[in-house]
Amino acid sequence: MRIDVHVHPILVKELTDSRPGLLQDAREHFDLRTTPQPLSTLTHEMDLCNVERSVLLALECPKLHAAKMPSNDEVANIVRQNGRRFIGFASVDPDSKQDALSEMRRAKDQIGLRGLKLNPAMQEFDPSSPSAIEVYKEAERLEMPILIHTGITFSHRFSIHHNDPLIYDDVARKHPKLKICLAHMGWPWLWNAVTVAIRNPNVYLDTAGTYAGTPVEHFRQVASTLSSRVIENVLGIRLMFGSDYPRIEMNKMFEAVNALPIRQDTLAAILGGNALTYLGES
Amino acid sequence: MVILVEKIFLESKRSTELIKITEHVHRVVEKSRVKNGIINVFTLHVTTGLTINEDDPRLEEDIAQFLLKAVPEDDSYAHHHFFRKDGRMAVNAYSHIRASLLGPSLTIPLQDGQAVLGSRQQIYLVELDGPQARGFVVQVMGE
Repeated sequence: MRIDVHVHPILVKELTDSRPGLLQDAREHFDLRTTPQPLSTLTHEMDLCNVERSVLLALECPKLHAAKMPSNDEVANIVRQNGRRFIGFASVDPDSKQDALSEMRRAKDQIGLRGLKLNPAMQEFDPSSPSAIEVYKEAERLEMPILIHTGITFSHRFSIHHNDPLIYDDVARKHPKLKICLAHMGWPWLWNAVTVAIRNPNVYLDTAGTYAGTPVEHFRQVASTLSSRVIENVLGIRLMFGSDYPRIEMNKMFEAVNALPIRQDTLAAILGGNALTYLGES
Repeated sequence: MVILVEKIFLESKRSTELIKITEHVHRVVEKSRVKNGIINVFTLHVTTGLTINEDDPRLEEDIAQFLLKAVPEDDSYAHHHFFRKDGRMAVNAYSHIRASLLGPSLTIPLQDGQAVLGSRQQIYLVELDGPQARGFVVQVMGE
C-alpha cells in the first residue's frame, strides 16, 4: 500500500468556496498563491501514482489572525466523506495550553483525527517550551503521531530559528512512545534530521517538498548528500513518502522518489510500509 | 453580428493527455444560433494547448509521446527556481514549452450553423501538466 503522509488540503476548491477566508489565509500566511483545485484533482493525482491513502494536515494558527489553513473540523469533514482515501491530522497551538490539550482530545475522540501537525515557524511557538512539552505528553498518551515541520520555510515572514531537526532529539528521548515525523527531512539540515532518526527509534522523516530544483533534481541532491547506502541501511525503515501537495504535485514527487537509486524493498517501505508503522497500523 | 462566449470546465486525469472537446464546441455553436461566421477556441492556461487531429486513441498517445520526447523534463531550465508569485518551486518549464509548441487557440469556420470540420478532424484540449481542473473558452461570432 502506498501512502502520502504529507498533504495540505489548503487550496481545495470545495473548502475555499465555502469559506473564502481560507483562500485569503493561504495567500497571506501560507504564502501559496496557486489556483484552488477540486478535491478530485488530489484523488486523480493519488490514482496516477497508485497512492491509496493520504494524510491530510490541518494547520491552525491562532497567533496569525486566527488563520485556519484548514481547520481541524474542515479536515475531519473531508475524512468523514472519504474515509477510504484520507487520514486526518489535527493541529493545535501549544501556547493555547489547556485549550490545545482539550482540542487534541476532541480531535482524537470526537472527530476522528488520528495525529497532530505542528509548525513552530508558522504557529510561532518554541518547540522546547513547557507548553509544547505538555502537547507532546498528551500526544504520547493519546497515541497520536506528530508530524512537525523542520528545515526551511520559504516565507521570510517567519523565523526558522525553531526549525532545526536537532531540537527533537530531546523530545524523542523523553517521549519514547511518541512517534515523531520530522517533515521535509529537515532540508537543508539533512544530516541533523538523519542524526535524530538514527538515535531514536520513534523518529521518522518524510520526503515532502522540493527545494533544490525539480523533485528529480532535489532527490538527486538528497541522494548524493546522504548516499544510497545511508538511505537503504539507516533510513530504510524510517523514511516515508510525503509530497507536500499542493506546494508540489504528488505525481512529480512520486516519480522522483521512485527513481531513487535504492533497493526495491527499501523503496516499497518508503512508499508505504513505514507509514503503516508510523500510523500504528502494523 | 452575434457574439457568444462560453467558458467550459473539465478535469484532466493524467499528466499529459489529449481530451476531446469537439462536442462542447458543437453545443456552444448550437446555443448561439449563429449560422455563418467564425469559432474561436481559446485555452485559459499556460500549460495546456489546443490542436485538431484524427480521432484515434493510438495517435493521441503518439502525439503525447512526441511532446514528452521533444521537450524533455530532466533538463536545466531557468524557470526552475523559487517562484515567489506562486509561493512554491517552479518545476514545469517543459510543460510551458510544450504548450507554446501547440499554441493557445484555434479558429474554425462556421457555415450553415455547423462548425466546418473534416470527417477526420477532432478538436482536442491537450493537458500538459495534469491532472488539474481546466477551462477553455468557445467564442462564436457571426450572423
